[in-house]
Amino acid sequence: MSQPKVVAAVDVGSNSIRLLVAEVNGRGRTGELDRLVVPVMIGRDTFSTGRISNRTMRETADALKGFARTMKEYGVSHYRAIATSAVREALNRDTFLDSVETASGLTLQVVEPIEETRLVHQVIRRSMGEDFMRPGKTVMVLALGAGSAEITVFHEGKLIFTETGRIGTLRLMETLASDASERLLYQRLSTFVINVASTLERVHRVTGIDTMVVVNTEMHDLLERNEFKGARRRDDLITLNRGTFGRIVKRVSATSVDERVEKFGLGYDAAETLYAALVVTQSFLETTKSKEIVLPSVSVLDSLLLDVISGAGPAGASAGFEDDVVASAIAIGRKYHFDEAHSLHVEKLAMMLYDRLEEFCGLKKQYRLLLRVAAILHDIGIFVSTRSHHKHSHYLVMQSEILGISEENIRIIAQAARYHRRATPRVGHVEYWALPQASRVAVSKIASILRIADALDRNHSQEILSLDAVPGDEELVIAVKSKGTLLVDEWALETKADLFKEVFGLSVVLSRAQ
Amino acid sequence: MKKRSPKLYINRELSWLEFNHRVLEEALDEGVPLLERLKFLGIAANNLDEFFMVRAAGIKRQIEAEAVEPTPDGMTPLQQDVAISRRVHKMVAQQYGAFSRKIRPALARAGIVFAKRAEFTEEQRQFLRQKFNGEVFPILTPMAVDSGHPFPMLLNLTLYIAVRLAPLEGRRIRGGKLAFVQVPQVLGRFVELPPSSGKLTYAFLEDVIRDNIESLFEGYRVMASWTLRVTRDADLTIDEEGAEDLLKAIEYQLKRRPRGAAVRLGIEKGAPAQLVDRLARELALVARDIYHIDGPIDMRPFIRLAQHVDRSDLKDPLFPPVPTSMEAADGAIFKRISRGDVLVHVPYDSFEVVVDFLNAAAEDPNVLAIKQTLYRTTNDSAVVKALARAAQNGKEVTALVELKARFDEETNIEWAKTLEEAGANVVYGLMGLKTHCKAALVVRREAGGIKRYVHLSTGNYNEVTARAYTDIGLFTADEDIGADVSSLFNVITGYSEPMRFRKIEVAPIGMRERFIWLINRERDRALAGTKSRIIAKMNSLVDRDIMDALYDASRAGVKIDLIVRGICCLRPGVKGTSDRIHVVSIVDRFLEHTRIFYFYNGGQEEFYLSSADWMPRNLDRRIETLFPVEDAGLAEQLREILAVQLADTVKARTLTADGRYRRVRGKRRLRSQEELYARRSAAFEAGTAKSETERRFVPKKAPGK
Repeated sequence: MSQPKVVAAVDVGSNSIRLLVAEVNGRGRTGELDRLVVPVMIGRDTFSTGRISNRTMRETADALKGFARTMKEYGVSHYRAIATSAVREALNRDTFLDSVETASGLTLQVVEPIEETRLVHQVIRRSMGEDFMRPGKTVMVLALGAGSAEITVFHEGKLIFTETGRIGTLRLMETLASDASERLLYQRLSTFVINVASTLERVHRVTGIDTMVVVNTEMHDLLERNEFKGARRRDDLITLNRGTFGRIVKRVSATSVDERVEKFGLGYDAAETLYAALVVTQSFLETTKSKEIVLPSVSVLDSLLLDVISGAGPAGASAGFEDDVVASAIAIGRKYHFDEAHSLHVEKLAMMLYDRLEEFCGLKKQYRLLLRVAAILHDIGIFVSTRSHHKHSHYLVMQSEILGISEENIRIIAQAARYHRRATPRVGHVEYWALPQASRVAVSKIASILRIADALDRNHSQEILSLDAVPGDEELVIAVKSKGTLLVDEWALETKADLFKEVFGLSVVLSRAQ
Repeated sequence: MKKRSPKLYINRELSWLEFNHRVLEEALDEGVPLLERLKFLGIAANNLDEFFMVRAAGIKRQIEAEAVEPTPDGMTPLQQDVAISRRVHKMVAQQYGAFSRKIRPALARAGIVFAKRAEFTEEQRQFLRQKFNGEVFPILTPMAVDSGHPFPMLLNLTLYIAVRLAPLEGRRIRGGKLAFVQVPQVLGRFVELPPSSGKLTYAFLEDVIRDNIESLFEGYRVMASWTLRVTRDADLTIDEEGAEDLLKAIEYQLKRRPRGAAVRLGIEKGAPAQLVDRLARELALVARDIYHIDGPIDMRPFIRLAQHVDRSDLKDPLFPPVPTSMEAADGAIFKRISRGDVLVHVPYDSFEVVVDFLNAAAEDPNVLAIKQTLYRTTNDSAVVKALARAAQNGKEVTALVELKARFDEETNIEWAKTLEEAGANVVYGLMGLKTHCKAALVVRREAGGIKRYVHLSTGNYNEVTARAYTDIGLFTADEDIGADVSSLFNVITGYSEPMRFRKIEVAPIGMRERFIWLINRERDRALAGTKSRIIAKMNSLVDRDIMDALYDASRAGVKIDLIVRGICCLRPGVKGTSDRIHVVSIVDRFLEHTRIFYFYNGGQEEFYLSSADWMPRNLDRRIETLFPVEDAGLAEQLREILAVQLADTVKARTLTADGRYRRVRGKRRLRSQEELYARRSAAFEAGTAKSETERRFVPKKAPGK
């Protein structure tokens, strides 16, 4: 009897800890089984004192113990548990993780803001469907959490812009509480909003937003639990126009926190931070002149669950999302005025090599995307200086936020870029030495292929059209179809295939395909 | 809240006393078999004890705190205290009158004799002396009161003999010396004497002791002795906030319970004023708290005795529970529930099926988890055994044990420990809220995925009360109700904050609002000139907001029938306010315990069951459930139950506008409990019981084919 699988997702957020249990049948259909929420104000600790208190730690551990039990009761076979900004930014995050993981037996993964965004986008894509990709359509996603806000802009379904601001609702409220005046709040907010808007206009020629998607718990609760005139519900979305939103803001700001709890059926904490959420949303709305606001009624948890179902880990992003990652990398490249033709050609060659060598070289699935991004970004250091540009590439990549790529993997990409020329990885290099064993292997393997791919476009002229790579006993023969001579490439290979030989024990030989 | 005239409400305490009076009336009713009458004497006494330990004690605490805030009906705590005393004195007189003038002589004629001490024969005396010397004497500890011995702590609900002693030699003490002897509770209250002229004869243990009391006090002469009993404040007040371990806190409080403030003294009639005054002083009681009793103090043991004596001719005819035919083996019980909901109405139907359900879950390899609330359960409970076995079989078992179930705390602590040892996850409910809902949830892995089976009930998972209390349980595999009950357990185990419920309603989250909404919906229909109707059956009606909603509905023209067994603070039949409200109370052999709610809803009739009464304590301080019965066939069953109860002309009383209960007179004699049992068993006899719940699924066949 092939029974449906039971899977779960856990989200340790800033205001609450949530569990979603669902079952998936053979055809990938899911049915929700249970949803648990425990209000634990981790964000309140982190954003005011920088540390998570012992009491909060205990509360988290208790909540997760209950979740672990619930998961056992449903016979959950796979789960993914993440923690977001409140945990990520806590000074004592390791102690916290150790204590709650030991108590509950669950393994928590601290995700980067951008990974949070990916999870959100996954949901939006699903709930907006075709409309998201409609020709000429520009969508801004405002993922407004307790700690920070993620802005992402899509044009015709393609990502064109992404930015993070430390203007989360709880953080704003905490700032307000600590003697900063309300004016300061608006100032800080409007600086960020105006920056975003002007960058969009200058760099990306975006002058108007059609739809603003707001992903925010407080507003979600407000609109889910109350009927407002003008708010339309359709499938998993609630849609409002700017006027309606304005009226809601007016109504809410005329109430006290207690009244919000009473009238709107909000939790006490949400009632407190709701005001900040509305203010942030409104300022974006007014600056971007977006016509409508859309709130998806599904959450990060649902998205996380999709990951669990598809078996996608944190690095192995889902297929549709890989394009967003690449787009995000290219956007970074453009920021540093990279040689786009060369970089994308190297990316293409690297991918051909990867696909031929995957089995022979024992490459892991997740390396493919990392190699791809590393290839796109390997030369961005030239923006600083051609001399030692590989080292500049390293720190520029380290400073970048690439959609859906975790901090760990950013480090791998940055080092792969660093080793695309000159010295090969060695333990004497501090950053390399500081990597965990598995990451060092990844860097060496990825860089070894990247070096070959880069050598094959040594003169930045994109002459090689296609290639085949055949590993033998002592040699790796790369047969290429090229519109030019192979002289430069051969010469480049001689120096740059050293790492491949070091890692895989084969020298690399170039030949022309018949 | 709108302020309404206090005259619209009936005092809660006095209403409860009227209920107890109706219980006592069963003992006075010549139509009731003798041993049942004896049992009702005991039940009325037991009820009064609990009333004094909790309610009267609470009022005394208010007086102590100098509270003067009147109740909705306009009485101050002191006024209530006085009124209670007056009413109970009258009731006690009736109770003892019934025993000594009616029941005792009648039982003697029927061959069951309660021998009086003064009338012991020499032969009996001798027998009792032997008994005394062999079994009683060794465990007696007399407590003298003198300068060296302070006044002893007289334990709650414990019978004592006060003894007046004179020294045989030496200095004479004016008025004699006082001592107390505790009547041991371990020996049983009745000593069976050798039958005389074929009659079953009992002596009261206190008489046996008093007859031989001299042997306890060497060097003294016993001048006189009297029995007495103190009732104390026994409401547990547990500081949950400060209690790290609730289990320990309750254990500690239980040990202290016998020592709460005294609230009532019962003392043998004829005890000298000097003794009574001394006791009153020591116990800080006033005259109205003292009850001079002409007969055996503490009639509670009659309950046990009446059950124990093997004289079916003096008891109610047996109503053997009708089995609900659900095959339990190999998951069949789950298949049956999947096919359609099942109602179980105990004690007409057997409670066994609930135990079968849990046993099946414990053994079924596909069952992953079982969750269950335990409020009052029995010693040696089959329910608890099933849960323990399930845990041993590797199921995830969660038992929500309510440690704060009044007077059952000790039993519950035992079970909590047993279950924990078996590996179950035992949780003790939420801070400040008693878990009073009755729910069981079985999570089962099936070919189609996870499936939930639910049992929700109006009454406890208690095999003993299931034979004496009427309760209705619903078995269902409805997805929404399953999800709701999962959420409910997530809340009461503290795993999650409340989510939105799909079909059920949960107190204290939104049940009062839901009830008022349902009542107002009928009111609005009536105002719109369309048909409307409410029938509600419960144990007690106290909640102000709901009463006010009912008054408004009545005023709007809604016809309202209330079947309220116990307290009813609503005053029916008040012109312009409650003309259309009709209240009946049924007190009979089974304790009415079902909570059924019916709303006409413009023809889309709705039936609900609930674990909650319309009382603030249920709606504000307890976790309760209200659940719909949606299956049309089952709804008909509920309609029938309500109709039969409203037609009762034997055990029903109507509450009148003056606050009194009067027997319903009807042309046709109909005793609802009898009728319901007769219908149930007739249906079973006819072999239709099985198909009754299944008939929707069985193609119609011509009879005989």
